[in-house]
Amino acid sequence: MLPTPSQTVGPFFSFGLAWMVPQEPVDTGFVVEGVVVDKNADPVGDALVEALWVANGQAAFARSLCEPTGRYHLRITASGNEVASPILVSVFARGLLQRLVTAMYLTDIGDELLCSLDPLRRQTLIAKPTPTGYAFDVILSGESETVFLAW
Amino acid sequence: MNRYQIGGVNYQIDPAYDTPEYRSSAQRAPTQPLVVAPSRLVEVSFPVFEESKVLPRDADLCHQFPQEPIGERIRVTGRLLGSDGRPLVGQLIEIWQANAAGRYRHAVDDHPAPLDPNFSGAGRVLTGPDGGFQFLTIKPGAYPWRNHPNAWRPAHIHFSIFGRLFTERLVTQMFFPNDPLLEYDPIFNAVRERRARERLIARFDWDTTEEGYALGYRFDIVMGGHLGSPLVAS
Ligand SMILES: [Fe+2]
Repeated sequence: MLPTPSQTVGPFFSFGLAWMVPQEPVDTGFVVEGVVVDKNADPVGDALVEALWVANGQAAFARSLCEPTGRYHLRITASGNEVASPILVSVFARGLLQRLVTAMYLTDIGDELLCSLDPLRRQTLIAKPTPTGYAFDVILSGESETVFLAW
Repeated sequence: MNRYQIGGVNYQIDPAYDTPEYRSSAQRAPTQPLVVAPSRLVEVSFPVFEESKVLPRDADLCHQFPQEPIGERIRVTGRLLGSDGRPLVGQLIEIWQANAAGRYRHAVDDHPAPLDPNFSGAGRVLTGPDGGFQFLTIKPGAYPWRNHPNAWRPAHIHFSIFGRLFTERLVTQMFFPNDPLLEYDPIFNAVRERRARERLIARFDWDTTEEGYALGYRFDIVMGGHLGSPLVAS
């Protein structure tokens, strides 16, 4: 059967999708945060960022709605050592007719995907340690664009 | 871009990131080719959703407040299927929509149409044993946007579905049959393949139309991109 095609999430999704974002602070694990920016390096203040990861053989999921500054904030509920690399990241936004998918590595493990990339582009998939976890910016478009995945 | 093959024919299902008629894609669409990921990297299962987090009343957008919303009451019924036609059971579907006047309950929506104090426009449901789902809501209004002069979005309901695997995750929109605005909508028409576009249009349905109460629409959703499906990236 022909699959249903993707359409943009649009600008007005927050009231429908925010319920899944944890309201109280969670203490376990670590934080991944960063900004989503467009071709002009302007913040994408209406993006939806989701993460899927595997820790100790168990899949887990988190969702974040960007602030007007383009900043997102994901709580990964496991320790850095327990999380299998990479964490899969989806970005949805007005202007994106399909989601963009990328892979966030907590360290450069030099796997098949990373080794297939030229050194500069490879760096876009490596998160940087911060006092509370990791920083991972997503550049949707332009010169220093994040590597996005297909399958 | 995901393509889909049936009997050797290639169908381009999903719209291209860079679609000039959809103006905001220019600043946000990637310019580099997508990198094909090893399948073991992306074929990760979503965690099983905690069923207790979705209540039956979450699928009834007409009774979330003491009074009922204004608008044409509709029942949207469908089945969630894999591309092999098998039902996908226990899957979370989230929807959000404008009210009957075409206004979203969102701070950034400045369309000068009234908000409805009795309508949130948000709902969710889990698919049943046959992949079935049903929402009771009101028909959303068309609304203007700034994409081009005198631009109006056809009436639509936004849908978000997870799927079993990460590769299935889908965000889409449901449209209504015979809407004169469809022809002019750059988002709907960004799906270039007619047969794929038709998947986005619900069908009016007498069987689910309830006498004296609500009009019935059917909207079946077929997920692509799962393990072993003949999706190839280009
Ligand atoms: Fe919309």
